[in-house]
Amino acid sequence: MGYVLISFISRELSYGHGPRTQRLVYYDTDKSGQSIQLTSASIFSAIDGISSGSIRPKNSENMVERFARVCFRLTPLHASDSFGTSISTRSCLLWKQSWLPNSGKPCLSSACWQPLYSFLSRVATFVIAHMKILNQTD
Amino acid sequence: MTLISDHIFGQNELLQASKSLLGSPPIFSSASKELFSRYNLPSSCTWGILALKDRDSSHPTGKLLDTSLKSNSLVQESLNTWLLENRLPTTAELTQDTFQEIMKASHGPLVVIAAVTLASKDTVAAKFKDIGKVWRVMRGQGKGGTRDVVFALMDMDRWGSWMKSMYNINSDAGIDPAVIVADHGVCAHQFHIS
Repeated sequence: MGYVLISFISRELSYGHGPRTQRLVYYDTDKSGQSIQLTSASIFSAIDGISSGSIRPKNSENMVERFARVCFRLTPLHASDSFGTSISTRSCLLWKQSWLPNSGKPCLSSACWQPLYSFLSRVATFVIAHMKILNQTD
Repeated sequence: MTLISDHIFGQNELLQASKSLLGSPPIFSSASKELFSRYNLPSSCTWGILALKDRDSSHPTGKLLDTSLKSNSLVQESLNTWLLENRLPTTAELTQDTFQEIMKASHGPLVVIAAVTLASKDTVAAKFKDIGKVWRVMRGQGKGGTRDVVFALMDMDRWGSWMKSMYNINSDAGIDPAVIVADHGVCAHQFHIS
């Protein structure tokens, strides 16, 4: 697990530009929802849709990579804090907001979320702890 | 890229700024009045820089005029930024050598990527040249969005597994090459809870 995380982190570092972190997204459909074709009509429809925000981006990274990235991004903010609930809760909120189906809309009651939150908190703390060690050795 | 100037102003600043380009693309300067009318530059401006890409001298993709600069103190900074934002060609091939400067360009262009094989490469390259020209014309008319666009070919034989993992492009897609638009310039702060 530690080794896998380190590989995610080094990839993240290589994409980072100081405090700005890149999110790798791509689009493979045009405004009509069809796959982009090698025609100017289709390509410009896609570019137009991207500019106006009417096409949904897809993520180039898988879920675990994104999770590691979000945690990594949060570390500098709280670098001097103890790694406690605040970071873990934020990570889980990000998780809830963006990564689950119906993103943004609650699909479970808070009672159902509670065990998932506590599990995710533990995972987040574990990830962050590993990153802390890595930061110190750098 | 061309500098048009009717006096010496801008030469020193441009020389300084051009160092950030490391010699590519080349910058040509001219004091010919004819160029002002040819590219419809307003008579109020004393100098301007045009970005000419892919050997297309009729459709500049970008213009920087002295009248558009707010104050003299910012000239150097504006020149630097403008040169970096306009340095990439419209069409290119993504290879080990060009990948970094295109995909990680500081101004975050949209990169239209077509997956090609040895057999389809020339046909797709020709199509991209045409589409790139359409984009340059649109750009001249103020259309086509505000972001820079690069049309790039990528060799399926070499980058197949990478394209599969990043963009879910399959190598057995058939005759039509897969086309995607990569956006590696999205800031992560858009990811925040709203």
